[in-house]
Amino acid sequence: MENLVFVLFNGAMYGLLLFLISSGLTLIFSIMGVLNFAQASFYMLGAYFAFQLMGWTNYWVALAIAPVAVGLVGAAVERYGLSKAHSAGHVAELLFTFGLGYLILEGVKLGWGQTAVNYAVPQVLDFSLFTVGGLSYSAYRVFMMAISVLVFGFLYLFLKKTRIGIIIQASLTHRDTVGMLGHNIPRIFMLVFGIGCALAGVAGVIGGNILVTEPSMALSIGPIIFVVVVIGGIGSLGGALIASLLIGLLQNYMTTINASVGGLLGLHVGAHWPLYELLSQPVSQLASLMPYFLMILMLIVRPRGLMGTVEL
Amino acid sequence: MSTQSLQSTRGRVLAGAWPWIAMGAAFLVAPWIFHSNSAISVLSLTGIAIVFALSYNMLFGATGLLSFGHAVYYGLGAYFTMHALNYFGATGVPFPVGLLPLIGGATGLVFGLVLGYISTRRAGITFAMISLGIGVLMASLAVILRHFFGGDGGLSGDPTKGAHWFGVPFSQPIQLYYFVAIWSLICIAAMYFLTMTPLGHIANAVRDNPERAQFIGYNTHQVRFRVHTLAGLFAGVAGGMAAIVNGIVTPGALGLTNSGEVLMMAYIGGAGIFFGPIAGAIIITFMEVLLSNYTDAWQLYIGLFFVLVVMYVPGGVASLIQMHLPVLRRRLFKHLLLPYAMMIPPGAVFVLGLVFLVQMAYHLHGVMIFLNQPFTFMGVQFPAHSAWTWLGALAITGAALWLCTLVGRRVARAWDEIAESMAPGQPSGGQQ
Repeated sequence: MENLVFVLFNGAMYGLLLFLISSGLTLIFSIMGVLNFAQASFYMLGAYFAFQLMGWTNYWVALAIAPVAVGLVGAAVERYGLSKAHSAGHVAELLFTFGLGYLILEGVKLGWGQTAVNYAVPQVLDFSLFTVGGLSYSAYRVFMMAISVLVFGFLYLFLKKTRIGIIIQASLTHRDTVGMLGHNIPRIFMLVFGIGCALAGVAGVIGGNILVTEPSMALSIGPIIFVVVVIGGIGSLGGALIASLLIGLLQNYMTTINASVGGLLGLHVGAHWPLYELLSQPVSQLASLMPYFLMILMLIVRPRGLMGTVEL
Repeated sequence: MSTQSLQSTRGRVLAGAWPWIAMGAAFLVAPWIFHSNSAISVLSLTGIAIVFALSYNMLFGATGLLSFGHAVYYGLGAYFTMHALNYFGATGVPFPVGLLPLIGGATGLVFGLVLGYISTRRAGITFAMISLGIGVLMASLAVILRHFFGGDGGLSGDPTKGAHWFGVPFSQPIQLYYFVAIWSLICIAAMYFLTMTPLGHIANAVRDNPERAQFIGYNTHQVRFRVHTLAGLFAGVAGGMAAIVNGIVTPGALGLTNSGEVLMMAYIGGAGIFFGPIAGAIIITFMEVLLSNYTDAWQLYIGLFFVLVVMYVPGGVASLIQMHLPVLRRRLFKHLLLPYAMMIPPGAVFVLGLVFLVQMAYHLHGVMIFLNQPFTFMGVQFPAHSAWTWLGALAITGAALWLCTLVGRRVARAWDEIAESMAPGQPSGGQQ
């Protein structure tokens, strides 16, 4: 029972973090048609910026400024790099972001070293909020979820209620018309790319201290973001939300299962079986592989994803 | 008309033979020029990289499938080859070590069949993401399944044991090199032959316009699936060679980094031309080996190089050569000579400035700082902690970049003029 509560909370927390990053990816993809391979790198940049700002000032300043800084970096990259690759087609754009991820990774190593930095949870929030069955739950994790929900609220209001938001929405479906109405399409692209990166930056700020802030953090979460997007249906924000929560919950649930894969299937696996090593693994070991299995399954059963409208 | 085309075909075949003769000769004499043992090992790695990059380009360049998980077939080929090597060594089955890449190829083929059937149903971004997912899945499995993949330490074997042809025991780097050279030449020729088969042609059609390919009766999934399977085969052969040359296979062979590297090789070399990835494989392998001797920042330099190629030379190095060939043939290159020469000084200053900045940044974090060594660049000592050094370097690099863009416009103008004089209708065009 208490296990289940923790799975629910941790799963939702991780899921929301995934959604913060993948919502930025979806936004960028829907409007620019660019699959941003460096999305997880901007998440990493958010964590490192927050670490640096926390060293200079405090956590709250970091929370406010780091995502903006990441967004500015993203906008600058779009303006001076990505837009140059634009004329060579989508593959060139995608490969540009792929190379960019490489550069951010090396840049982070250059600026903060190869090993993990000590980006800690702020002391104000570092207490146990409630206790279930002898296990305590940190207040910071609840704070994280609150921040994620808040960000989505703002994003929703921004897209639905502000003038710029409505122009962005219009360019989703009628890009050329928006351009002909006199709006500056390249500037909209720059803005969207910046916002998408800033969303990942927020995830870095609030997630970097719970997970570890190290150079390999982008590579460990990046592929999962793509899985989320594929399962949710490419370009669909609602689908990305469902897929994020699904993966977050399922992955956390799997880490609590100690039975082996074969055992769960009701098999008594002998050492002479062909896939003995795989089938005798405890399920908790395979939790990190689950998203990819799920993605392959989804592509066989329903290639467009949960809520996607286009089959690419 | 028909005789003319026949003649031109024969001419093309004759002209087409020259690159092969040159390549065979290059493979033959390379170890005479670079004859130290370590240099010969680098040459072996280059041969492997060439086969791997060409197999990648069967997907990317020829069929338009952007894969982020091609190292899966390379890595699995390497692992199965290593298991076979150890098995034959232990049981004394007289399977020649020189033929072991066949095991790697068979592995790549089988996994290419199974995994490709799922992943090639869609092209475009969906394929890119599935290949990425499969890549991560396999890389993670390789870490979890310690018995088969040998954990972090990997799996090692001794290629000098087991059966050998002509009493050549694979104990010298030069013997391993010629083993790689022969297999590489066979693979390059086979892959080139594939581009001329109906499958190779229809793969290009599926890349350029899948709808029309479907409309004239081709099953695009089948075409992609077959090319993917064959690409898996050649990647497996490359992996098998790597297993024997290195004597060890680690889970990194299947990893995303390796997949990314082969993508960079194919792209930097030029995916649009068959021989492009060969250039890319040579450039990247040599950059890795040479740069990693001098600096810890070598990955940054390779990344920068890649991004610059994507931004400014989307066709890769081979496209640069292809672009200049008609200009050279029409003896118009003299018009480009001056703008190109003008590009050299600011370009060189920019590159040097960039390298200076990167090296200085690395100096502040690297081992040198603990050894209390001062920062030196090209033999001159600089105060790395002074803001003035940084500002000065930034200013010089920025100014050089600005000059580069100015000269860049001059180069573009020269190209425009050349394009004008080569356009049909002009006397130099010579048609009709």
